[in-house]
Amino acid sequence: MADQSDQQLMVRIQQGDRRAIEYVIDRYQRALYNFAYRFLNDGDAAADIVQHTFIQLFTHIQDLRADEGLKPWLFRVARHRCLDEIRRQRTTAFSQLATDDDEGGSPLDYYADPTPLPDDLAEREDLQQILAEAIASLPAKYREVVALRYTADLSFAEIGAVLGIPEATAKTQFHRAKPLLRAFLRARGITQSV
Amino acid sequence: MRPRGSSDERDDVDRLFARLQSVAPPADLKANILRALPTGVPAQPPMQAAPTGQTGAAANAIPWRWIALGAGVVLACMSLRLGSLLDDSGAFSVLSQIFSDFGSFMAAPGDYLTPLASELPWFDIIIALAALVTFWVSSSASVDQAQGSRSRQR
Repeated sequence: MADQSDQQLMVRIQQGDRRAIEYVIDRYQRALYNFAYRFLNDGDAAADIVQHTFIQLFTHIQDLRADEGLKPWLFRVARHRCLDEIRRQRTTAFSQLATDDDEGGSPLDYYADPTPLPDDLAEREDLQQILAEAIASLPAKYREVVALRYTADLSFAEIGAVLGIPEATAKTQFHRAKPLLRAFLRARGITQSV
Repeated sequence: MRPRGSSDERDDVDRLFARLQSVAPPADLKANILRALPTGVPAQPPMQAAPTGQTGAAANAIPWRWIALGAGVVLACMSLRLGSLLDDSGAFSVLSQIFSDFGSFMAAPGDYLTPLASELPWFDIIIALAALVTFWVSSSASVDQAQGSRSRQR
């Protein structure tokens, strides 16, 4: 069953085959957890969201269209829970929660840095933490795209399906986020001198 | 986690974030998920992996679209039949008299309505009205069903 397609597993889940949902969990729990973890920067919240997502899958499997991908559906549910969690926490670390494409850009764009980072970057002990903080520093609209791209390895088409936006818009938001990431990393000492 | 695309398409940020390590979920996460799942099978009957895109929800719920289509066909047929029956029975001529001499009708409505009532094909009218109501209800339900299916994806 491990080599069955998502659609075949979906049919088995609706037939009540609990082994099928175990295979789906094995297939996607790590990617979902990493997405939620990078989005919220909170391991406990990420675990809750992943648990909720798979429970939603089991209880609402009949709502999935046969032509709808399981992967985008899972990440879509997880993303909605992440946004709900952000609203619940009422954090002020993020500049906006709007999911509409803001053609006007974010004020943080003023601090964007297009200068490339060095390739010969020495390994830093705190690199993982800095990378995680860089993602967490982004506005929610950019952070979800970056998290889906870098942690879940979704294509732009899949990201568009998750977020309900055109693929081109997903690419635009991703590329707008990069100068912000670059500026953050440079501010944290990822410079030529490292 | 390496971003997609060839190495030539990756820029400095992509190469840096390629070093971002994947975090292992808690060891007991899967067990917690399985423990939290409802027992038994999902409520609805099995979804068939149909290439036509028929959804599990659409397959299990009332087929409002087909009911609306059937009611529309019946309504169209009954409309044609009613028109023919009303013409043959003389009801149209009574109706035209009412509209052409409305004052006389108001003075003695019984003189017009009694023969009209006897000429009307009441059984066919009831069937046509039933088809009309069925079409209206089923088409509204079909739209609501489609909208509800989309909203449940959230």
